Amino acid sequence: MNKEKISDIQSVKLMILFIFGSTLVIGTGGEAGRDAWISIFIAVILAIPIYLVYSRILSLFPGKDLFEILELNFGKFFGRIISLPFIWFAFHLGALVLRNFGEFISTVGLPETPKIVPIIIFGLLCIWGAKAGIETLAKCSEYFIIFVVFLLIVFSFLTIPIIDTDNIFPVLGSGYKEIMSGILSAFTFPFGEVVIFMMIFSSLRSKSSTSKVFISALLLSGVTIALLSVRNIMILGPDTIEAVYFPSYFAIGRVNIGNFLQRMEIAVTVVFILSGFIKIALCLTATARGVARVIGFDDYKILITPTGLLMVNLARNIYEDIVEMFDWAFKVWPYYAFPFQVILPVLIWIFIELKQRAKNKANTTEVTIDDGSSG
Amino acid sequence: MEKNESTKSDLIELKTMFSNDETVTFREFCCKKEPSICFCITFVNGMIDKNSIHSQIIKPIIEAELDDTLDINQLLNLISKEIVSAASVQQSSGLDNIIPFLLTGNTILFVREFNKVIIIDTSDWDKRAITEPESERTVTGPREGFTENIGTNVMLIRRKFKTRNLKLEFKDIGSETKTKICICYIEGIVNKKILQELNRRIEKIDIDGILDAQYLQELIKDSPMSPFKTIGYTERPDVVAGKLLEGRIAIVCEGTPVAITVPFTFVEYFNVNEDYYSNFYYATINRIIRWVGFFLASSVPAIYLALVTFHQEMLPTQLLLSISASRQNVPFPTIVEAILMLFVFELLRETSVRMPTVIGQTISIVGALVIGQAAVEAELVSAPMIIVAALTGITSFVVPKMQGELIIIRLVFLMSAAYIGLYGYLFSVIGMFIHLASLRSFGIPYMLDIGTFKPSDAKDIMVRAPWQEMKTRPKLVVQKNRNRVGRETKEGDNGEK
Amino acid sequence: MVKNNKLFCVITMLICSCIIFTGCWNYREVEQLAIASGVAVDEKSDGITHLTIEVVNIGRDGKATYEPKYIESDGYTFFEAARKAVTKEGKKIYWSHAKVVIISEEIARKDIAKYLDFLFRDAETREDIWLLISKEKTAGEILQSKGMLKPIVSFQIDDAMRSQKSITRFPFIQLYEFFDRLFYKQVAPILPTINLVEQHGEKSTHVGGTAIFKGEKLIGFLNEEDTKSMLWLRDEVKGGLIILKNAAGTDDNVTLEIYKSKSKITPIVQEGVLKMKVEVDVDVSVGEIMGTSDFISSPGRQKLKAFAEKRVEEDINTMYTLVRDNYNADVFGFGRNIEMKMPDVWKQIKDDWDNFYAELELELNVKVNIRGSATTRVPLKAGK
Repeated sequence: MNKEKISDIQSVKLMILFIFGSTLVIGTGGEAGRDAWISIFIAVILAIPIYLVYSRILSLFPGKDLFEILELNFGKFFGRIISLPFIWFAFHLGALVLRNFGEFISTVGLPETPKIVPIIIFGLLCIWGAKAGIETLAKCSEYFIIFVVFLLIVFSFLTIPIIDTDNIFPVLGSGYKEIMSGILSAFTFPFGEVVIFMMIFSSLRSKSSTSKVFISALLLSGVTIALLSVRNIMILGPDTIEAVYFPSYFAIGRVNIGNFLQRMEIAVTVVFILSGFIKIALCLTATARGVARVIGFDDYKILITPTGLLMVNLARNIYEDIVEMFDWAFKVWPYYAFPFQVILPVLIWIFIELKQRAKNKANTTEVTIDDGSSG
Repeated sequence: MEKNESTKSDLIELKTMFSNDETVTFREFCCKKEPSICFCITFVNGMIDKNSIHSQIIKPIIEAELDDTLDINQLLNLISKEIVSAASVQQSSGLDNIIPFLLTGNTILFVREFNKVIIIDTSDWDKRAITEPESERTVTGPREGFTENIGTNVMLIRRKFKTRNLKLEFKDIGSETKTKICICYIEGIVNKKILQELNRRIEKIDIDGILDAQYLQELIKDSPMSPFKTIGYTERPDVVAGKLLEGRIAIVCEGTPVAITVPFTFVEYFNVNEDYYSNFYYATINRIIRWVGFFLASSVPAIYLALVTFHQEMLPTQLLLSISASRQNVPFPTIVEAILMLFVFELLRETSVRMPTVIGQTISIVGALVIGQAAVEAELVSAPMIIVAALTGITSFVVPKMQGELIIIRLVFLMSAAYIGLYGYLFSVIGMFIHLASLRSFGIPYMLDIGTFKPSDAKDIMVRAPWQEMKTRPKLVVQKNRNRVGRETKEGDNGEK
Repeated sequence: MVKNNKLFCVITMLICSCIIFTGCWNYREVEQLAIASGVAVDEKSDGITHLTIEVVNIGRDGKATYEPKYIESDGYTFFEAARKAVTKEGKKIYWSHAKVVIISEEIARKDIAKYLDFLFRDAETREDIWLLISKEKTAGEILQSKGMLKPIVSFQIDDAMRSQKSITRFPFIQLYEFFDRLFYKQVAPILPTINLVEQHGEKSTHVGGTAIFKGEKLIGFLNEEDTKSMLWLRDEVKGGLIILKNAAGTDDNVTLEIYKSKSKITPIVQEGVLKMKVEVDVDVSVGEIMGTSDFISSPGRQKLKAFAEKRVEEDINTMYTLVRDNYNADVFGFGRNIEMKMPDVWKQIKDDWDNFYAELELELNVKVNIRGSATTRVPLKAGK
């Protein structure tokens, strides 16, 4: 079933694009006002142990994804039961990102086009991408990340004339409560969402470097997101950021170089589409894999199309409008996502670790297998 | 041992087989000293050299001092070893074996009524001389190109390799045409897996005739429905030599002045042999121009359309005003205008390709005048659209091998841009990437894994590094023996990865 | 074969939907748009918004011509008036390229935010548009004046603002900066003002001076001289002139050209009282001496320097008192400055900032450095 193999660096790139996903457009940690970037930094640091848990679970069973690991450890029946919430999380996350994308396009780009049209088209594209397999996605991500990084760098430079460094001062002026809730929001969106990768990372080539992959992707993307957050705060100021839906889009919109380079918001759209595509396609892959495992299909790819179409449907019906979407994303999501991202994986990890230890005591020859893994 | 009658009937059968074919000539003669030993030679008129038949076969045999007591084998040995003075002589029997030789310009010598024959190579027919290839001109490189003759073509390749490592494997394909193809590769560099895969695919071919290498290409290529080529082709022996040194395999096909090379990766579209014959700075600039040309040729109409019909806010004000001014009174929507102009351009291109040069000029004048000038003045099309079509047209020649693909890409991009603007364009670009990333050519990924390759592999993609720096062969194709330039190569670079 | 059929179906569907759906939704031909270049907002007596929209009328008669066309439209809301204009123009009004929004004084005095909400909310309008307060009776008449260099008045204003931003006659503020200030309540927003001047018998536009807001309400104006003084306190002086009448006790008028200016603004606590310490450091060159006095030699320069410093200081102080006492509007962003540099102090005075500001003293320190005298060493005068 799993002949697809991706290299470490490819998976880092996949993960970076995944984390960028909708974050670069919607922004995160906004609760902390002008200290959002501090919240993001702290969230990155707090995410490190959780990522180590993820990679530990994976590296204990090289070549297996989360669903297989669950089945191995909890037995066929309970393993499948525990798989269900993860499947739902992947499915739901994919639908949310798809909806974000739809709202974004219809708000800033195509106000007269029915929202469902870009959602359907983008959904079909993601189905195609997911069907092409994780190897193809990884390869695409290698190319996309060049564009993404290029655009981010170029447009961050172009914004230099309009940044106002005063905007981030005073540092730590917003109060600790706000910063704390900023941390929670930044942690659950986007860093914790990487839990999806546990469901697809059976394709990693080497066994021992899972934690390296997770941590380097986290640091690279975390720093980028924090820097971009600093940039946006400097350009817009915390009050404007709070007032607009898509801060990056607004920030880039203010660029005007020599009256010729102007209205370059499309660059933000490009970044969003490229990374969002990877994110949705990965969610789709994860969901299809999980479903295939639970109902006992050998090939998950035939499940991608139906899952994808269901995802499009969910994306369409999940919110009434953009106001509800943002309310949900900022107020409910952190508490909703936390169990999937932290509590469940940690419990699973503890269980596996205990079981492993018991097994090791019984059978000393197995010890050697675990030595190579880190975490 | 066959009986005498059977040989007789071989000759007779041959005669009846070609009784209406005037090109097949039978000439009977006897030895002067021993008239009882009769010979009959048969050959195809027009494919042989009459002088050599006369001087190398008929004359020596007639004058030879033959002895009637010799048995057939001795006689044949005597003739082929001491009498016939042609360069290539072999003995054979059986009509099925003989006929292909006869039809490729050999002369068949029948001795009396015996079943064994001597096949003498006297082939000589009118061939095109080696000329400069039309579609791949260079300024400084060699001027020779392949011809329709497989022997010449193989010779052109062989001349470049003076070692025994160059392997040539001949095969006949096509149940009716029995077209000869030659698989060339360099032992020790070639990737064995690719070679096996190629042989497997060639074995599987079941077709009546191969008239051009394109037949072969389509029969053995991966993902046949893809518009992109997964097999390269070239008219130039020096390009073939270059590809062989990179570890690729070339196939030369009878009757085609083109050699095909496998595996083919996407970057090869952009690499031209001229790059290697000129200064590497200049070559690098040219390569970048080709990449830009690819981008322009595929995307300009789509981006223009999206900007003008969806994202007018992105245009600078003055530009918007000018475009708006030139579109006043134009009756067609921009999308129709775009498709129309691109279609007209392709029409002009297609017509002038098949036309004799003189008429071709007329066409381009009519095209330029009527479409460029009159159509704008009559307010049928807007001037910016003409510029867009012209730009697209010109740039699509920058990557000449990709013209066919570009038409399709351009149209898909244009359609999706007309659908939902730049978003549609972006979607189709992503689609193209998915497609390209999932393609493979003989097991080699079509697009490079940019993340995993070492900088040494990047030296021949966007840039053309000087030879001192290009120490290794492309990793994807070649698994072992990767050193290209001897000096200073690190051990680690040779290792398999 | 099945695969081919599927492919065929997909392609047919795509082509069909392209043909059917293009032309709907957001597809709009560029010549179908009426490109708005600027808009003036007035209010009619009965609370109805009155828009004067300047639209570029594109003609093509052999050569492209661009003429302004004015559409006037009324509505209860900005949006309604803008939509109603479509019926008069016949084409959809396209706002993305609008350069100028002129607001009448009357509206600005009531509540400017009400009218700007549409511009902020709508994705089509630019954020780097110029927002100007009309000092004429109506805003519409400014837009309908005659462009001197360009036929389209809005484009001319746009050009003029960009090329003259170093003259420091007006605050160089784009729409988004105004919004940012509006969101941040402690800073009083400012906007440049526009009026008409007569030139060659025709009225043309002139931008200069400042409109001061408190919250969303206009409360007063500053003239061009005071504007420059105010910009010093905001560290936004990039160039311009200092004119010294009767310099240093002589009869001569001297013009100094600013080529670099830096204002350092820090809150300080002196004897328990919070003060703003402003250090202005200006590099100038002597641009013109209308007379024969020696301001080039070392002692002469010292004299000139001292005089210029005093003059600038006086100007700033006069303006500061005016703004603080008459308007009580913190246009300089002092509150924000305190928040940045003394966050703890700010937390205490934040809620009572207006009263606090009314008492806030300046500690001003101007330093004028004469860096040169253009191309000549001596004043122009008849030889001895």
